[in-house]
Amino acid sequence: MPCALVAMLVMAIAAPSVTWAEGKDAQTDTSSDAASTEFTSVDQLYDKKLAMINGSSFDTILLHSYDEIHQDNFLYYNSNAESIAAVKARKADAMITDLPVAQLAVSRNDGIGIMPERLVEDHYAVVLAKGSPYTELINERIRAYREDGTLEALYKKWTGADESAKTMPKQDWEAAKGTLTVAASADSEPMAYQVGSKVCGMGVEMLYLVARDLGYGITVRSMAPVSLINEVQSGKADIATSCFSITEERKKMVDMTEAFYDGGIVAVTRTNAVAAAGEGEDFFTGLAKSFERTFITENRWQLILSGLGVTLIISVVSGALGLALGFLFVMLRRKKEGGVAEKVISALEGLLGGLPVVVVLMVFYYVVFGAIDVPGMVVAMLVFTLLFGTTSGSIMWNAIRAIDIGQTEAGRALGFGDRDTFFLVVLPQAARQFAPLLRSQFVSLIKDTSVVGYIAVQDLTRVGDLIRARTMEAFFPLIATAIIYFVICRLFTWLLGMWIKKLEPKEGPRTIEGVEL
Amino acid sequence: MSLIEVKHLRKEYPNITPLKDVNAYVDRGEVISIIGPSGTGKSTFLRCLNRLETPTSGQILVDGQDMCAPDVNLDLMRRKMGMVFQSFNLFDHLLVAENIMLGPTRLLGMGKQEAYELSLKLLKQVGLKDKALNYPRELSGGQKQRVAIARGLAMSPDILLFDEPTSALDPTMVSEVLSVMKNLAERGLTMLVVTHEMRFARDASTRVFYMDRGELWEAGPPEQIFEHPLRQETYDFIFRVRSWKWEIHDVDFDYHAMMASLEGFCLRQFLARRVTNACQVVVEEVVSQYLVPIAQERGIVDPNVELTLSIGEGGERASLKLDFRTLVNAGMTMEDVKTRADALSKGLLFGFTEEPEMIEPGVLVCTVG
Repeated sequence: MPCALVAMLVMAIAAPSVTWAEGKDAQTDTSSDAASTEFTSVDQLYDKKLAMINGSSFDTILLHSYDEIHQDNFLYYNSNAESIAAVKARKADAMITDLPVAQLAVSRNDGIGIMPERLVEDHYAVVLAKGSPYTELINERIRAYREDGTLEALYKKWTGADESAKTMPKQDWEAAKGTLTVAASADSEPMAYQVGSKVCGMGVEMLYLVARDLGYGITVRSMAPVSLINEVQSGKADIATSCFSITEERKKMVDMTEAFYDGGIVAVTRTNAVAAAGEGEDFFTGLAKSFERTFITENRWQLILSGLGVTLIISVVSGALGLALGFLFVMLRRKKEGGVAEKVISALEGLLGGLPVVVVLMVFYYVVFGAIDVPGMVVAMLVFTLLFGTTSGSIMWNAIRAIDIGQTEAGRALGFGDRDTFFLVVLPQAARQFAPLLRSQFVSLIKDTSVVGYIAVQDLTRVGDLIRARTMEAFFPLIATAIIYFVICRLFTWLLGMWIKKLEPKEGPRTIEGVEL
Repeated sequence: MSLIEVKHLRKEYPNITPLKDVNAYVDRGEVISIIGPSGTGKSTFLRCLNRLETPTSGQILVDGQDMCAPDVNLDLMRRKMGMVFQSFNLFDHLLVAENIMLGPTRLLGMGKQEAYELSLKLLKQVGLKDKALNYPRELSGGQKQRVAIARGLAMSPDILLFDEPTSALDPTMVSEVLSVMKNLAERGLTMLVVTHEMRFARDASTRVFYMDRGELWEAGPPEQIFEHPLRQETYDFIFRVRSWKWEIHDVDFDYHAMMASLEGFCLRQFLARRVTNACQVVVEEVVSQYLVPIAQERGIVDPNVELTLSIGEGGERASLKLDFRTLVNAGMTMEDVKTRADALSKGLLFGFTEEPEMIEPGVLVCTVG
């Protein structure tokens, strides 16, 4: 699995950072940090808790390199921002990460520094499916780029301070041999990351050059690092790029090219001057800065809006289609109780009810639609429609069955047909019972959609992660995301409450529609 | 031709046959009370008529239309026959007026305003005009049942079917529903009423059907069924529902339960208050002053006393039979009674009863009232 986010290496040595708009200068001298870190050498870390990003290969590499470090030492987090937060909160003693990430992290956070002694040397490669015909072709290109200085130039460009230089080449060459599909990490700066809708980074641009030089077209999709290997293994993508360290274990599962970047693994620890550094900043100033970083910088509010849009579209579409599907289930069941339809629906209910949502989602994306190119968004809507359909169907069915048979008999005895009796007598009464349940089920659905990031859909949660990856800040984006979720959930609870109220007995002066009393 | 004709009606379930072979007719304007023990097919019979139940075999003709024919339009036929259920089955999500309006507006194409006026008229007829804008849950049981009757009437049916309309009601609410039903009967509506209210059956019906064990045993005017039944089964039933029985098998028996049961019976039979009081006093005196103390003295654990109270015509008189043969066999004599009968209790007792008659040693019958 890909390691996490990487940032600019040279930035530390080159010009002062402008893009991050941080108070602290990114041009921190490693040696000056060293004097103040809590730990200064690797042997001090042997019995300490080491935080790292989940899915990275740092743990394997460390276990391999140091007999003194054990598996129990590791704490896994989902993002670098969380790892940093863990170190600062003393839940972990050091964050294990790549040098460029470490430098970025230190430049954006007070109270942490890079331990002077480097733990391991490290190399990044591009990943392909086992036995891919492109592996050797790409290797040749990487060797050529290394010799003619292309790699070095790319590296300087993508880790440089000049953000305006970080543009991707246009695809203006002849794609005579077909198209290469690239799955790129959405948050592994500077190797592969996303700014707005643009996928860029050193690894991505290098693959553009490879495609151009080999005579292929190229399409790039960005997604969570955790999904990348699946993408190439399932054939949804030809090539995956991120910051994949070369390991023996990985080589068994996929093809890895030669290294296009050589770096190393370092430890980020607390500095001895934590308190002093923290005291200097006013709380509200810090909050304002966090707000600016999360919403304003790089127009991130647009990213949040689009994520919110995705969350809402998936929720509302799945909610509406799911309700229709649930109602269809009800009508099928009503036709013949104990019939085939009922058995199939019960089986579906049992199956979907017995699996975690995220597992269902991934099974549909990678297995059911593994061979077909269906956008993650469509898969997400399909899965949530099915889930909401089965639960809403059984909620409605149980409420309908709970209505006394006498109600149906009274309707039929008056001369109403089966349909009329159902729609005029039974359903309105059942609706009073099931409406509040459907409402809470729908609000659960909104919250459940937060797992769609697993199949490369950029919903609200996922963009929150992306922003955290860029700002390396654990709390503010998280809380901002939480607030947005809370607000939309309350909003829907309120909206659906109006509907529920309509079903309830009339309050206040009673009227009959169309009648003058 | 009769309005309803039923020929060889049979209804079978896998494990029970509630209707074996029922033949009957109902003429226009008749009020039929269907009586008989519980669980003997009365309700099933009624529900077959509007096809809420599907008969296994036989024929049901309503207004000449075969209700079991494959091409019969049941929805259309059911509009001609309203039904009132034991559990009311009002539509709880609708106002009282809306309950009544639903059928006419949706099925008869009546305008809403017109239907509303109709509902008010019908509600007035059942005495509930001020409840038009209430929800059913805001009504008492008796009121609900009257609304249900109004709902049935709103479709202007030829026939109104009543399935035990008062069985789910408190005794205090029974009469308000019965009074509405009597009123309808007098207006010439054809009605079939499954009921346990013998008073209604006797006073309001043109004919009474006695059903038992899946068959229609006897059909005839109330005087015949209640006074001179042709069949022994009918006689036994009529007798059974009009008598009260209590057995005492322990000297420490539950006196209060017995008295409550006796009072309940008298109430259900609409016995005159005076007769009810008399019955209570006689039972109390005889049992607690004589029979039980004597058994206690003689060390008899199970006195095996049986009390039977039967109601005479019109509820004006009742006949109490005391069976204490076990005590007599155990050696009790009239001397025992005489020695403990003080003047007071004697006077009290005989003030209410006529001279008791000893049918055989240990079996005493006295008339109360």
